[in-house]
Amino acid sequence: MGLWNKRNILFALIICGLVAYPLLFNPSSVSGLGSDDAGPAYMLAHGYHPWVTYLWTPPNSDIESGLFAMQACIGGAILGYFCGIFHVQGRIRRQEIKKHKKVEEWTEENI
Amino acid sequence: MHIAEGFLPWYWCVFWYAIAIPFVYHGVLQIRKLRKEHPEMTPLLAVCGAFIFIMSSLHVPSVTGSSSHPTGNGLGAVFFGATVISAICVPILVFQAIILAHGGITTLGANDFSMGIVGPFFAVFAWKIARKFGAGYGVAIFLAAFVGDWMTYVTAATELGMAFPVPTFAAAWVKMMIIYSYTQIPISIAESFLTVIIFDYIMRSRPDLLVTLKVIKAEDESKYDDEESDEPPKKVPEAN
Repeated sequence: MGLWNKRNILFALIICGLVAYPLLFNPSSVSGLGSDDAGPAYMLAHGYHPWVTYLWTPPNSDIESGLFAMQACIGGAILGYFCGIFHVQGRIRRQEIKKHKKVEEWTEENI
Repeated sequence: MHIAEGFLPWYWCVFWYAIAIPFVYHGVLQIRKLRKEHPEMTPLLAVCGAFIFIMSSLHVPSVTGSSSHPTGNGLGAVFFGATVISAICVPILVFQAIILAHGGITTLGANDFSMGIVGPFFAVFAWKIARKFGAGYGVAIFLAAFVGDWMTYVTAATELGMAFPVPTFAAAWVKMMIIYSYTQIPISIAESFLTVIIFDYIMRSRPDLLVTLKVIKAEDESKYDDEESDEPPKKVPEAN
């Protein structure tokens, strides 16, 4: 039983379901305002005026999406790199443990 | 949960900065100490930071009819403590404020307070309570991730309700809670399941790090050692 055992596969399916369900059956969740935009929209509708604005904003939604994707890619690269290190370190660690066990067994049998 | 630039009056910006700075300072000191005493923890620290970085970039549609993003702050909070996450969140929030125009520099203190302080503190609290009542590691990390994520949004809603109490604080708070917290529940659940998988992966590959951090017990270090084998499976002799 490795990482992808029955439990973790079930969890992955639940995650996919929770993300896919609104995409398929509730299109307003995609086309409507996200919660980060809905809060400020409520304040603007009730007469609030921001006292400072961004120095720079992405010129259009495509570039904005691309920048968010870039952020996810940078994070994914870092996560993947270090998870790879963990994978190799884990393998070495298990091999060391096995070697140690074999030496112990041999010592018990022969000495 | 990122409060946009200019959407908090200046005195609230100063207030949240004043509260957040001591936590961030403590977090920086903790990271320095950790890296000095246990340099082998650096990759785990990077994994937790990268997890937050990825999670906060993903805008996920919610079954409740809006969209939001997970926070990923529960995993690192359980491993390293809440103040470390408050320090890790600062460069992430600055990056998003400057490059993506998401969040803001004036609202950095408030955003760090919700995502880097309150969320992680509640995550650690949920982890400790769950473990105290005998929950397994999977259940405990699930609860920690869920509570950490959800409390981040509850705090953001409270911050906006306090800054803009129109018509009353209670009415504004309820409205913000509906906008932020209600949408966040299914997303928090999805994030929690993902956190369980990542935790499981780390526990299988480097349980010794988690023992050093006192996240898992020493007797659980070898829990998965016998399950996984790196040797190729032995060939079954064919019957003549």
